[in-house]
Amino acid sequence: MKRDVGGSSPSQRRYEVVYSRPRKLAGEKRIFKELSRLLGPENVSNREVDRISYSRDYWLLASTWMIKGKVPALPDFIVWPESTEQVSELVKLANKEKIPIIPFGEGSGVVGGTVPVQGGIIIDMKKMNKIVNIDATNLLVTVQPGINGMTFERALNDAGFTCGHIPQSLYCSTLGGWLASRAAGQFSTKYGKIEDIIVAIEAVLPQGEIIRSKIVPRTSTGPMIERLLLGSEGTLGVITEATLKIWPYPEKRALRSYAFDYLKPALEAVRRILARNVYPAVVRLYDELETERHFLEVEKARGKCLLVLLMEGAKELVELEEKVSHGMCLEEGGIECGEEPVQHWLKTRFDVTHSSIYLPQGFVGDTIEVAVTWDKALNLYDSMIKAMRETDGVYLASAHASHFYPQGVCFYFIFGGIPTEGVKPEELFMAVWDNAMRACLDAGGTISHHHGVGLVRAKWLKEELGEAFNVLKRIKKTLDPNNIMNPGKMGLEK
Amino acid sequence: MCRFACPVLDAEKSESTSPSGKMRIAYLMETDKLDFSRDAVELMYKCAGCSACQFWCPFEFDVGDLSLGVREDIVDKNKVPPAVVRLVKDLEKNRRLYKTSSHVRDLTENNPKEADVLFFVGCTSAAQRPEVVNSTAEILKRANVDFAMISGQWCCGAPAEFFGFSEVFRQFAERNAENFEKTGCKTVICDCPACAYILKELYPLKDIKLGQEILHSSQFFLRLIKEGLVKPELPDNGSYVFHDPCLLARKLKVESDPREVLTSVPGLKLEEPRFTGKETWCCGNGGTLRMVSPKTAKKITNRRLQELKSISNSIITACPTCEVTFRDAVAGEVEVFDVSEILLKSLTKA
Repeated sequence: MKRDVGGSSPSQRRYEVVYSRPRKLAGEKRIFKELSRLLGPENVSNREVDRISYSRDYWLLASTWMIKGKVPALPDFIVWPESTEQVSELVKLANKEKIPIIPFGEGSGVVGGTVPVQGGIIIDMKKMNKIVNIDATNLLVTVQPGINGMTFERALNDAGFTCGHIPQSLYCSTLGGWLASRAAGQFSTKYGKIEDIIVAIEAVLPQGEIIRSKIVPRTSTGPMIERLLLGSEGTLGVITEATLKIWPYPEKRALRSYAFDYLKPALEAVRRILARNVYPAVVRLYDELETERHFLEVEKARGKCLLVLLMEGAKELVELEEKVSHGMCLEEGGIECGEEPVQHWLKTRFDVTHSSIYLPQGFVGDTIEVAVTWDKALNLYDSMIKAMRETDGVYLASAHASHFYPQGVCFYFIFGGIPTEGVKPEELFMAVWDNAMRACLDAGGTISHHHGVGLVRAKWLKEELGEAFNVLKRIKKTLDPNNIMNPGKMGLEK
Repeated sequence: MCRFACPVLDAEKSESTSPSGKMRIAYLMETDKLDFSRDAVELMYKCAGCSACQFWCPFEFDVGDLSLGVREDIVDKNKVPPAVVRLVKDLEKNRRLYKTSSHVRDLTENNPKEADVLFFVGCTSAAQRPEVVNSTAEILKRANVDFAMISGQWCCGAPAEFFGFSEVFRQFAERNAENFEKTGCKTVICDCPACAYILKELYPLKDIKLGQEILHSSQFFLRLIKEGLVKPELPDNGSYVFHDPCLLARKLKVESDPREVLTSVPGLKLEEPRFTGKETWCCGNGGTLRMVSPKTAKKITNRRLQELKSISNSIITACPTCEVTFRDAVAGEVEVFDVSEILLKSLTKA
């Protein structure tokens, strides 16, 4: 890799920058001055410590580099806008200067989506974190995108509501990040993904235009323009406010778990439950390996696949959901394992320590979440497990299914391995990803259910979307002719 | 998960100030990939020392504790900010962080110098909260506890340790250990949670093992109540909100004792904020933060006060530093009490 020569005091730099740039940014001082004028000097930084801190997200490859003392990529500036108008002015300035801008929440993404591969301005949205209104009559909340997930959910709980969006990253992610990556929470089988929860959006488009969709339950007024922003990962604009659905805080919760001999009958049980229009909030099904890893102490589940169910909501509804689910599980051969496994899951559900333990020891690993319809589910599971296990150096490949729909299921795969001699960690990492993506596409699945595309899936998006990918590129070019919005992501430039 | 609870990140909104952000920069500094620049050094002190990160960390890492080693290297490399150097020099010279008030000096002089119980007066209470010293001493007297105080008492050494001056800290620790021996005490009561934490947990890490039991005053008060040596009898019909000092709740794991003391007062209504117990939120004046970033410290204070004030304008806590911080921030708007003051009011005159 070339040494980066941009930014302050490069001569003193003793760390490698992975995504390096050959030239120093032209007009750095002028742009800094202009940013300071727009936002106030306290909201602009080009300090080296800040540039390093915003060089990464939680993409495991980036973490691997950091452990080796390498910095993934250096932005030129970090800014903290406090209003939609300021964001708009920022975007206009970026167009004038032809400098990239990368929206940033809390950096919990795992696909490299916020890594500033071409430098530019990181727009940290954390100062736009206010809850504008909790509307108890219409069951809506209007909120700014920089709010921390747990802070948001706690505020709703205090007011007697829930958003129902509880991702594993709840404590370290923002609403803006959820929307930009089309995230899913652990309770999604009842409440839906974030795209099902969102009602209206305010956003700044790549040339500074501010769009706002109406806060109405539904509309029939042409294409859903604002929905382009969902899953755009900062490539089509900056979301500056959102209105979401909320629900009364659940009156009752019921916890159930069942062990099945194989995945097949367990999947069938869930399919039948959902086909009856019964939606447990949490449905998680672990394959044999993951059941052993997470629920070793559940004797009835040894060598089997554990299904975890959590029903919540109004008392009468929960009782009905519990009854229907229980009947279906028994009919498909499930063995009741009680509340304890669900309690265990509730206690450990935010634990993301594995990567912190294994990465420094030289292991290479990651998670890959995909989705597929019921008829192809088992074949996709088998194909992807096989593809990962057959990659040289891989020791472990397993999965659980964690988000369910009447039409199908999301599988969440985990792989781990150690590079064979002469193979770099990055090479093993990408080889597993390539094999997994190929197997997923061949089996008829979508290459991502909720983590997004970023850098790691960029080269696969074209095949995933087909002709729609060219349409997306044309939309990008029209909205963002200077290609300032998070360039280098989602494969849109190739 | 720790970032959700870090008051510095919450105030500054910069990834650099998140617990993991600080540790990444520390890692690059310690592996000689990044200079000990002014910005990097300042970042290493931008910590409220509140241990909120440890509470939420699955590995129980405490970024404040982990930073101590980096700060020692900052001292070794002579890169300490000038204001911090001045503070530590003054501490070495005066033996106290602030000048002790004449009232506390007189109280100390007129008190026995040897007893089973030693009342160790923190620098903040000695200088800025003499009422706490007074009420604590008075409660001990009402309970007929023979207690000693040390004339010319030295600071526990916390500021030196927190800023990375480990050798200066050692001098203070050794001196205090000697003084404790001279009093013949078996129990040391601290009115400041930081002193109690330093004496109990950090002195042993420097191989200075005290032979005495170390207690925060609220723990000792509860003991006196349970043994019937003091009886809160006079009613207090006030409605208060309790603020847990970070070091007391999280480092010393003392949460119930001050509450039990307070709820033993007839009529007293005690309410809890959202961030309470081990989830408490820093007052803004913890650790080394205020020296390098007073604006950030002020923001943290305001956030906590906003939360407390939404419940009651009468705040009770158990740390003189928290008390002074709150009082200074909103002079006259809220009343701030120490546990000792509330307890004393409920005791009948001797």
